[in-house]
Amino acid sequence: MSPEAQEFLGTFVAESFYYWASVFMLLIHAGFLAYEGGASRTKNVLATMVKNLLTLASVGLSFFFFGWWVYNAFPFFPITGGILGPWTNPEQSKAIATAMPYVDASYPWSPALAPNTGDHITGVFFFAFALFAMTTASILSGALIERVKIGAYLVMSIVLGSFTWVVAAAWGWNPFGWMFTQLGYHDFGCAGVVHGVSGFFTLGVLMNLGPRIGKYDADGRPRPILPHNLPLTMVGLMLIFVGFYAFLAACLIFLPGYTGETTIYGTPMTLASIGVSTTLALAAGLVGAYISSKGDPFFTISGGLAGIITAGGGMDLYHPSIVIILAFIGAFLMPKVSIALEKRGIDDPVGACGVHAFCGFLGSAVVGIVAAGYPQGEGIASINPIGQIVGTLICTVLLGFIPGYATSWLLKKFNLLRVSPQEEIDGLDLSDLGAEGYPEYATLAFVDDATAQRGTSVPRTSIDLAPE
Amino acid sequence: MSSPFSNFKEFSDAKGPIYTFANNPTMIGFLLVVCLAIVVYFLYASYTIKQEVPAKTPAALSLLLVAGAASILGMEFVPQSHKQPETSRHQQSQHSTARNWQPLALLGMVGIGGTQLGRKRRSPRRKPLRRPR
Repeated sequence: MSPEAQEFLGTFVAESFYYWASVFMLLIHAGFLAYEGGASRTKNVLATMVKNLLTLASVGLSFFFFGWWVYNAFPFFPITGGILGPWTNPEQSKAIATAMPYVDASYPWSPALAPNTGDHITGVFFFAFALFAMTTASILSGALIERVKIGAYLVMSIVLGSFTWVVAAAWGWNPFGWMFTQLGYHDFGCAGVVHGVSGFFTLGVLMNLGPRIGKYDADGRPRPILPHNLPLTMVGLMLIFVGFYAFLAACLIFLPGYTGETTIYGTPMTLASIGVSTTLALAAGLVGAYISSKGDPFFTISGGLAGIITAGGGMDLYHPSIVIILAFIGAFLMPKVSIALEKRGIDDPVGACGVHAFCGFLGSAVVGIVAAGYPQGEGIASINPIGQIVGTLICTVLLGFIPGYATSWLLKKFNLLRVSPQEEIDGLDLSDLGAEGYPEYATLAFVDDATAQRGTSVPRTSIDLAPE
Repeated sequence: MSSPFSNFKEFSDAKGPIYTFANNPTMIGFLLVVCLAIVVYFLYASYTIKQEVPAKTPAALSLLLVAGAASILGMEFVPQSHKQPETSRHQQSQHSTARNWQPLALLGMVGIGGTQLGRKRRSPRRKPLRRPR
């Protein structure tokens, strides 16, 4: 094989790895779609799924227009260049000069994103990051089901998926990011950067959105609103698990010319250890949630995800025994957190706050203790508890909770956040989409209208029976 | 410190274990014992953990059957009182189709009613189901 062919093989391996990892990441969305659809009631199933589906559109396009640029341009903000910038003046430092080509390649008009035989890598990284962004926004989707306006969700998905988490990633999940270089923040699997940001963003939104009608009784006690299709939710979570193997694999960096695998921080790691750790975190998470919830099926299967998130921050470094213990603890505590939030008036139908906010916070912060002392580069702080907790608070509070609360508060002020009570009672399938998810089934609305209209005509579908 | 490395060069050039406590086999042994204890407790707990799912009582089932039968009989009776003597063949066909279809819808209604009944009965004892993700 000629040297040129060998060199291109290295490029092709890197290009193919991220391409297929990103394709498998799409299973996370298939899982979210199934999970949310199953968790909703029959009258909301279509609207729930369509809302989740539109995340791919809102975040995919906005990430192309500015999200990808934010990731590449914000690592130095606000440390260099002042508040108004420019934050990437190549004459200011050698590091900024090194980062400039990435900024130039991230504009929508950049030749690097279009077909270009001189650049096989930028586009495939855009693809991977866009999928990360969609995953982050999709976490918000399930918590808002059955009462949020689709437009409001799309606005918030763009704020979260193409801006706030991207800023967190630019600061704490980027070799140039100041949270990494100045504080020593280490978050291999994006426990804080993705899950902490999105979970706390969701919490802020839920505080303004309010619970679904009927969720609490007159005394404020929570009442169960049962999902309409439990098996669908279980299958959805299994798909999410598969997607998370790809998500974590895509956190590995292997570029043309590399002689080993590294994290995004440039520290050594192996893909094999991610396979071992993800499997063990999933297993131990299921155990923790099963015991803690006394066998509740929803909490048990969500425990797998809680375990992966709790171990995600330092999965590149943890010994398998630490992965098991951390995943068990995170998943064990997760149901308690979810129940405590529910008692305080937070109606989170899919438990996003317990799984993503709590476990993301824990998984990010605990790296500073469990992996303390790991060096991360010349002139860069080692992993330490203070840097880790500060970075975690920046992700969860500054870039998660505050933007989520502020965005939803603004939408609420203009009456753009929540559907009307009548639409909510009728169900969003008919209110928003004019169609039902199960038109052939004898739903309550179907039977009511059948009895009311009997004798006037012969209905063919439930739409005939229940016109708007 | 769980890091087995004192500087970055040592870490980046490592050709062997890079995991936490790689230089402390005693700690790894202790952690493995903790993991084993979790597994053993999990197996033990799986025999003791039970979600409360009460079976349908004979009284509830009887009530369901009576309610369902009464609903079907009622629906069968009402359409006859609305029949017009001058109904055309086409209209008769429509009524016939409706009669075939209505019991099915009512069965669904009875089923839903049964679910509601069961839910009411077990609600005081049953933990609320939650759907975290």
